[in-house]
Amino acid sequence: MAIPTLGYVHLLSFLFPAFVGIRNYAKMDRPMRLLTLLCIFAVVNIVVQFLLGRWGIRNHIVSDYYRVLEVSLLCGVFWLSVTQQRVRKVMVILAMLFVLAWFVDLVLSNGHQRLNNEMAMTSRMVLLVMSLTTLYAELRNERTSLAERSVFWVSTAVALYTAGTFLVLAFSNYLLVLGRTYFDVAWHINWALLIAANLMYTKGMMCKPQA
Amino acid sequence: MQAPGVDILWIVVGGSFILLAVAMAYILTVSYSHRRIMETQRVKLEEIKASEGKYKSLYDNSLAGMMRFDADSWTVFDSNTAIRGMFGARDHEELQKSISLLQASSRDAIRSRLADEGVIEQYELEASRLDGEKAWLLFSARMMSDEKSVQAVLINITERKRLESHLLRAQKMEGIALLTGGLAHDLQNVLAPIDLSVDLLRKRISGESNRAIIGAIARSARTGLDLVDSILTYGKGVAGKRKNVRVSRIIEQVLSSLRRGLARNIRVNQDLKHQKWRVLGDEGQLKQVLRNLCMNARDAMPRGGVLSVEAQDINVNKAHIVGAASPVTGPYVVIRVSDTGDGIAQDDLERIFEPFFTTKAGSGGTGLGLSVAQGIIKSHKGYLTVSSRKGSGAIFSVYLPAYIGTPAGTRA
Repeated sequence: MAIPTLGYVHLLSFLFPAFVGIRNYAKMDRPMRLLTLLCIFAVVNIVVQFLLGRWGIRNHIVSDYYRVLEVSLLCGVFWLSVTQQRVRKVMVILAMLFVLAWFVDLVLSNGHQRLNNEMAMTSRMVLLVMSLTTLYAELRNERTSLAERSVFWVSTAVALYTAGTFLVLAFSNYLLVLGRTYFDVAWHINWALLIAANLMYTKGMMCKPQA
Repeated sequence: MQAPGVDILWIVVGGSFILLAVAMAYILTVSYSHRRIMETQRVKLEEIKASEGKYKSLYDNSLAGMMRFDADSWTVFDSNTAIRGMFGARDHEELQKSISLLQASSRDAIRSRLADEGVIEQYELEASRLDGEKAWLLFSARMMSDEKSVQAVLINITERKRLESHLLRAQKMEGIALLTGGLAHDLQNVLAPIDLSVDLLRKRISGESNRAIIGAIARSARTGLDLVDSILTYGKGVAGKRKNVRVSRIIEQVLSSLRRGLARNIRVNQDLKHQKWRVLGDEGQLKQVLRNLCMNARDAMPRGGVLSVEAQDINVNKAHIVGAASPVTGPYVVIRVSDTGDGIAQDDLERIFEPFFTTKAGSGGTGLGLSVAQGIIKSHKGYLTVSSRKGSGAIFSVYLPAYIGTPAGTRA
């Protein structure tokens, strides 16, 4: 099955933040170092999924495991970026609830036979709340403008990506049943937003570390 | 009829865009709000900075010295330029050093007043500057609300103190002059008939022994009259005959006559090459002044040394002649008589021009030489000043207004 051009672009876009993160690692602050780690895992995840897909092996199991890693690491990035203790607590609780839900789902789902839309939606929901909370918390930080802060770009990327792909993930199984064409149309939204998110991560990594 | 897949696709695509738009709207709202907050903050900060700058400028450029310090340890937290100038300190560290040199009694008094009343006003404080000079400061301070730090304002009153002491001394001298003037007149009335009668008696009396007695009476009466004359000169500053005279010529004549009477171990230096201007004065009186000063210099060097006399023309420009009661400007001829003797003690220095004050009581000093010299110089609208440190000689400076068509000495 042929992958559309946007699919390849989206694959390539994962390399940008990972490359910039590794190159600037010494100069970056702790949240961005953690994000670099996430970006490296994202590259590994996407390469493995691509190869498994090429070889005709079901690859959605990989994305299921990657999801818990993504939520945990992004929670870490947001937690390190904000200073308000209350916001930090909210993030830790959300992440813990998600991990718990993920375990319960893993036990109850009896193996992954299809795309796990429910956990995908839950993860998007958790990340959306985390990113919006972080953005709101950053509103009170009056030291520098938002555009100069890496956390703004990261939380914006997460907020836009999770909001835009929420429905795509929720309905992906239905769309797959209806036909590959329907799925691909919706999936283009996911790719486009992923490309935008990766570019925003890259921009965030290039911001000067905040004192 | 439309396929159900198309409906779901529309829901997914449309819904995704709506959610995306909502997220974007939220992000934009946050960004906009943040920008407004930043702008408000920036304006506030600028206002605070401007206000701070204004008060900092007031603080730094104030002519009154200001500082904040710890009430117990007197550790200075901050200070302005004026206060550092008062203590002769270049920076904060040097100021701290000077503050620590303040008299313990003054510091204790200030500390206890601040502890009791929380405020101290116009406390006169004597401080030592880093250059060794003494300074008088008017100290006012208030304990801050933290009960630990003190905000103080200091005003330099050294000049005022100097003028006060000058005025006191002048009043004292005036009193003495009035008293001694009256006494001198009475003594003159007593001595003049004796002097006249002695002359008449000398013609009538014969015999060597009688003549010797008359001679002794005549000498005593003459000495008494000379003394009275000196006192009157001091008291009134005898006008004399003012002529256009060359100071360098007077110096040369006085030194020439003095050299014969000086001990061998005293060397005389004379420097008159920078003296060209003339002064309006009484040659005889000026010679007397110079003679008195040179004799004092000689007496100050019993073990020998160097007696230097120099004269030069100077333009006094908005500066003080040390010892002058008020600032003077204009062309002056200054004569400096210096010696390399033991110098004059600080306490004596303040009384040196008082009549009858002498440090040569045992060797026949009358204590009138300098007071008469000052009287003469005053009557010439000039100034006689002295500077000396114990162990390093003394310098007497005579300032006479130069006569360049019109007499100088305009008061500023």
